[in-house]
Amino acid sequence: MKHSSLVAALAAAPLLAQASFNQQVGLVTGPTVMSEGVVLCDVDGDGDQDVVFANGYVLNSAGSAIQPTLLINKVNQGLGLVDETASRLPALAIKGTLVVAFDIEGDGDKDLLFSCNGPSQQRLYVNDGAGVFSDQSVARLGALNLACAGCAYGDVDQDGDLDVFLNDELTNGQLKLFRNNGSGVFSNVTATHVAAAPKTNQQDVVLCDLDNDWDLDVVNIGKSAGQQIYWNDGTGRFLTVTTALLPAGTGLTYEAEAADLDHDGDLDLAMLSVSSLTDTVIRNNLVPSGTLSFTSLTTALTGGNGDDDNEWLFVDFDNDGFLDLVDGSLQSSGEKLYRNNGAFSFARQATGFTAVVDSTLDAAVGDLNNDGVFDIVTAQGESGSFLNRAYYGSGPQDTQPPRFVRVEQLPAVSTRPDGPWVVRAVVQDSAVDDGETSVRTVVANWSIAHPGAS
Amino acid sequence: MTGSTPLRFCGGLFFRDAITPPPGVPTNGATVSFALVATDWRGNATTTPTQSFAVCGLQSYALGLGGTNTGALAATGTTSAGGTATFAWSALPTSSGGLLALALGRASVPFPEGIVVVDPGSLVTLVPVATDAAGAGALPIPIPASPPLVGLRVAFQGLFGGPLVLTNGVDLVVCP
Repeated sequence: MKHSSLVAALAAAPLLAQASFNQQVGLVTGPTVMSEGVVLCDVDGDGDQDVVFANGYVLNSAGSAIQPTLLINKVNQGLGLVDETASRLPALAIKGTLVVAFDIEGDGDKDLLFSCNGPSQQRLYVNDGAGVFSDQSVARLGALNLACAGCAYGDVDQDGDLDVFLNDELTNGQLKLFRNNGSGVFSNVTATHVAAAPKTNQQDVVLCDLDNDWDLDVVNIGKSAGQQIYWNDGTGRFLTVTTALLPAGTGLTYEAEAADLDHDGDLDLAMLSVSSLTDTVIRNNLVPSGTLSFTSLTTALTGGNGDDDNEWLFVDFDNDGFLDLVDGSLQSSGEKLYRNNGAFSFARQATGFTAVVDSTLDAAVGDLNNDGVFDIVTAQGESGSFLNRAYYGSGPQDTQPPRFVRVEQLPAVSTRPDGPWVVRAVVQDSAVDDGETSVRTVVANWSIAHPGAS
Repeated sequence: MTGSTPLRFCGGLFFRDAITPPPGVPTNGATVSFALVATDWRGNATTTPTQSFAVCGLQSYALGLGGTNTGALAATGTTSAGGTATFAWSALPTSSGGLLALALGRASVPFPEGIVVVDPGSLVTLVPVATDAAGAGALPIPIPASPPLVGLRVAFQGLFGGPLVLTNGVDLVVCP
C-alpha cells in the first residue's frame, strides 16, 4: 500500500508540475542574438513547421544588422530544430523587426518579408520551392530605405494576389501600401491609396475586416497617442482614417491582434499598454447592435495585467473552442496565458508557462512536434541572454474544427450565368497570430442543377 | 454537375475566391448550391449550411461549331420583367436578310446546311432581320412586365442567307 502510494505520487508529480506550455531547453538552436520577430511556416514543403527569426539590434537607428535565422524542423527525426541558415538564407545582415511568410507570386511556397528599421532596405526573400531563399528585395520592392517596426500582408484590392503594408517608426511617420502586380513585384501606391495621416513610432499593422463589409481594413498601432483604423473602400483604397474608435494608447503601445473572441460574428481586438502598461481586450459591438463601436475592457484581463509586454497571440490551449490569449512579456513574471471563458473574461493561468525570466519581443504558435498540441516559440531581445525559446504544449490535442466567423450570403438570384460567383468568408481556427490562422484549406463544394433534371 | 473551388487565403482571417462554371456548361436557369468546408492542419473540419441561388439572364452557347455556323450572336441587357435585352449579330454576309429563330429550348440538330441550336420542336417565331454593310445588326427585345414569365427560357439563333450562315445560340431566362 505504501509502495503503491509512492508510485502514484511519483507518477502524478510531473503532471502537477507541468505547465500548459513547457520550455524545451536546447530545442531552439542558432546564434543568441537579438531577435525581434519570429514566424513558424513550412519553408521546405515537408509538412512540418520551420522557424524563422528576424534578428538585429534594432532598438535605435545605430544598431547592428544581423543575418536572420532559419531553423529547419527535424523534430520528428530526433534532430530538433536544425540551424540551416547558412545554406538556405542570403548571407546578408539586416535590421529585422518582424518577419511574415506568404506566397508573393503564387507559386505555392512561402516567401519571407522582413520589415527592418534603420532606416534601411526592407527585405523580401524569395523561396525556390525547396526552402532556399534569394534576396530579391530591390527587384521586387524597389529601393526602400525605411524605418519599419512591422508589416502585414493581405489581398486588399481582391485581385487575387497579396499586397503589403509597411509601417513607419519615424516621427510623424506614414503607413505605406505596396500593391502586388500578381507576379510578386510591388509598387508603392501610398500617395493615391492611403490617407495622409502621420503617426509617430508605429509598431504593428493588423489587417482585418472590422466593419463586416467584406474587405480588409487596417489597424495601425504605435507608441503614440491615437491608434489608427484605415477603412478599405472595397477597392484597396484607404482614404478614410479614424482614431476615435480605439483606446488612445500610450508611448508603450506595441501590438494588437484581431479575432472573434466571443463567437458573435465580428472581430475583436487585444491591445497592449493602452493605459500606462495596462493591456486590454476590446469588444467589437457591431454584432448584434449593427453599429460599429468598441468597448475596451482592461479589467477583463485578470492577473499580471500591468506588466511590460510586447506580444499577443491567440491559441485555444484547452481545446474548449474559444481562443485563449498568450501575452509575451518582458517582465520577470514570464509569458502569460489567459483562459477565455467565452464571455469576455480572461483569467491568467497560474501554470500557463514554465517560469522563465527573459525579454520576449515576439512569439509564434504552431505544432512543432506534430503531436496535435500547439507549441509556442518566442523571440528574445532588448535585454537578457537573447536566448530564443520553444515551449511544447501539454494540453489536449486540438480537436476543434475551424470556425466560420462569417460567410457572405449571396443574393437569391444571379444574373451572371457564366459567373464568376464570388464567395467570401472569415475563418479562424484554434491558433491566430499576425492575421494568420491554423486553417489548411477552405473549399467551396458546389453543384449546378436544372429544374426537372434528375 | 458538381465541383470544388478552393478559396484563397487573403490575410487577416479572410478567404475569397470565385466559383466559375466550366466553359460550355449550361447554367442559365439553373440553381447553384454550395457549402464551404474549412479544414485545419489536424484534419478537423467544419461545413457551413448550404446556400443556393437561381441563375438567370443571357448566356451564349454552341460557340465555335465551325462549318456554316460561323456567325456570331451576342446579347446584353436586362432580362427581368420590363427590361430590354439587345441581340447583336456579326461576322455575317453583308447587306443580307435573315431570321432570328426563337424557341423554348436549346438543341443541337445537324442539317446539311449547318447545325440548328434552338429546339425546332418548340419554335416560337422567326423574326425577319438583316445585316448592314459590315455584316452586322442588332435588335432590342423588350421583356414583358409579366411576373408569370419569370423563369421562362427562350433560345435564339440567327440564320442568314446568300450563302447560308448560322450563328451560335444565346439563351435568355427571364429574371425576377
